[in-house]
Amino acid sequence: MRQLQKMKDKLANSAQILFILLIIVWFVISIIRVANNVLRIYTQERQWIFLTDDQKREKLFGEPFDFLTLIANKTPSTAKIATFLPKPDIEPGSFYLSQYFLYPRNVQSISPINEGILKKDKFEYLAIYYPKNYKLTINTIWHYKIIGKYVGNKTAGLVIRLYE
Amino acid sequence: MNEIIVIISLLFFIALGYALFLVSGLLSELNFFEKLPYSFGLGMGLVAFQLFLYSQLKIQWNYETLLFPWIFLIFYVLYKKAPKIYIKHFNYKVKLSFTQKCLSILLLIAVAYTAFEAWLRPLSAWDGWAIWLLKAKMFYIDGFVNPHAYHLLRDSYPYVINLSVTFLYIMLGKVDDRAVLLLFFGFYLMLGICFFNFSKKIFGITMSLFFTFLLLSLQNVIRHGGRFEAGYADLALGYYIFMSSTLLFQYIKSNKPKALILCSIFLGLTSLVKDEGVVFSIIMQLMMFVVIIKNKKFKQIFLSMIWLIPFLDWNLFKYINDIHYSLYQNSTIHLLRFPQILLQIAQELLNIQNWNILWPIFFIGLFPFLFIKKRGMNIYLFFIMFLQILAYIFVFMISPYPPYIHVPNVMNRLLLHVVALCVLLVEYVFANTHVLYLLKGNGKKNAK
Repeated sequence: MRQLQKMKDKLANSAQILFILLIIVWFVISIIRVANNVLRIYTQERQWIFLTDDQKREKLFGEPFDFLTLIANKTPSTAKIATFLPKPDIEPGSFYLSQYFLYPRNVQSISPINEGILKKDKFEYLAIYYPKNYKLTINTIWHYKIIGKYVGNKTAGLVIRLYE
Repeated sequence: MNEIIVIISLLFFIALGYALFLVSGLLSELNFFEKLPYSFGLGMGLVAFQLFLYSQLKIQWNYETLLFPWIFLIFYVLYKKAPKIYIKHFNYKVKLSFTQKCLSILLLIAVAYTAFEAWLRPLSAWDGWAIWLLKAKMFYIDGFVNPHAYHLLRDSYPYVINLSVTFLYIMLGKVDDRAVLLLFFGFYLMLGICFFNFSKKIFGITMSLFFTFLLLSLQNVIRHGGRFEAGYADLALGYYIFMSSTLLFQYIKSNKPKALILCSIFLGLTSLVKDEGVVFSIIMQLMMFVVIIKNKKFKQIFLSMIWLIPFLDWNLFKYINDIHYSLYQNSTIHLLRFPQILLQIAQELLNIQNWNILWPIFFIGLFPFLFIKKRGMNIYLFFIMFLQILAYIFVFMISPYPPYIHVPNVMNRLLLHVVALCVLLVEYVFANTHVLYLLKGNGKKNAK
């Protein structure tokens, strides 16, 4: 019983010592990280400071931002737009992102693209968005005329076509 | 210019909350600096509730309808109580020792850096543009809380964050998703101030500055307060959880109905920040029941349930508009996931990049915690944290996603909800072990 109590005390004391030592280590790490953060203003953040908000967004979101800006500039705020991504995995969250940048436009993702959907006069615009190396085989968009095109040369290398 | 308008709007939240405290006599024992974080949370929550209520009553949102009632209140308070306010709340001097000055400088650097980051970039956080600021923008453009937004996005998240940002857009007269990120810095700052004030009363200025610095220099907290992940609502929820917890302690200490009412109001706001806040509010309700029964003040049971009013009002809105989207609707419980969930959580707890070494310290600190005889209110603190994390483990068990996908995706944010409580518990253990080991020489005795 006495030995058990001794062991218990020993364990408690060891935990206390370790605890205090770790707090000191934590404090040192925190100081280093704060210093690193401050240094980062000079090394990394400096390049952000003088950019315009749109340039910053382009840097943050990449080509999808160019794509959505193109649509926003070419369509009225009441437009009904169908967006089509042959490979939705190329841009995760594209539905929400398009809602975010294009609202109050009525934007709907369609997949797969087919004549049936597009002939119903549900949409005034069609935005197609695909990687450069993707072979787009759509022959059914004959009643839409192209009003904008964007060929990206950045990371994803995306092609954007906007039809009316 | 937009940033200035946002800052003025945030100051308006504080002024509104503060005026309400003065009129109602709530938190009368606290000075201005101590009231500040509560004022911010109360003011912001009330404005969000006001927008929601106006939308339900079909009252237009504009400067006049939104600001007039509150400005009237603020001016009334200024006119009636200005001299007293100054004497009682602003008239104090602080003298800092050298160590305290050094800690204050470190703290100021951490806070200034986060403010800079919040100002630097427009919104880039996923939940920001997929949920919180997206709906804020939709509501601003539509001019009311449009149920269609919930159906379009297929979610049913509550409204405090959305509508607070909508309010800022109304004040700006346009959408600016860079300036409004200062709101998230506001949560960071107010959490820090509240943590400092609360722990100062128990542990003194030096210790309080030390641990506030440790809390505010956590990289995950900095990121959600301004750097890249400002726009998530998790730090906001963490802030409201900490506020409500401190108010529960004040109630336990004073047993006054006023403290209970305020705690319950904050619980109502917490439940409307994020769905996880509802879990917390239920846990807190149970705690309040325990305290009320212990003190045999059964009349206070109804006061403790005030938070249900805004919560039920929100649920009524959801019911009327048929908004019921949940990831867990048709889920079943997968008990065999338990070890895998624990493993994934452990990986996040050991993520030094996010948390430094907070969580290992916390778990090591639990050993001395068990040996501290007078744990007092900290036992409530421990149970709040424990039950909240237990609830998250349960959620992972019923999730449609396997733990190796779900847990790493969200755990860093879920831990933000209880991070301030965790640091407070570590501080408590440190204060006690410090005294036990260094002053009483416990270690030496046992070594002999």
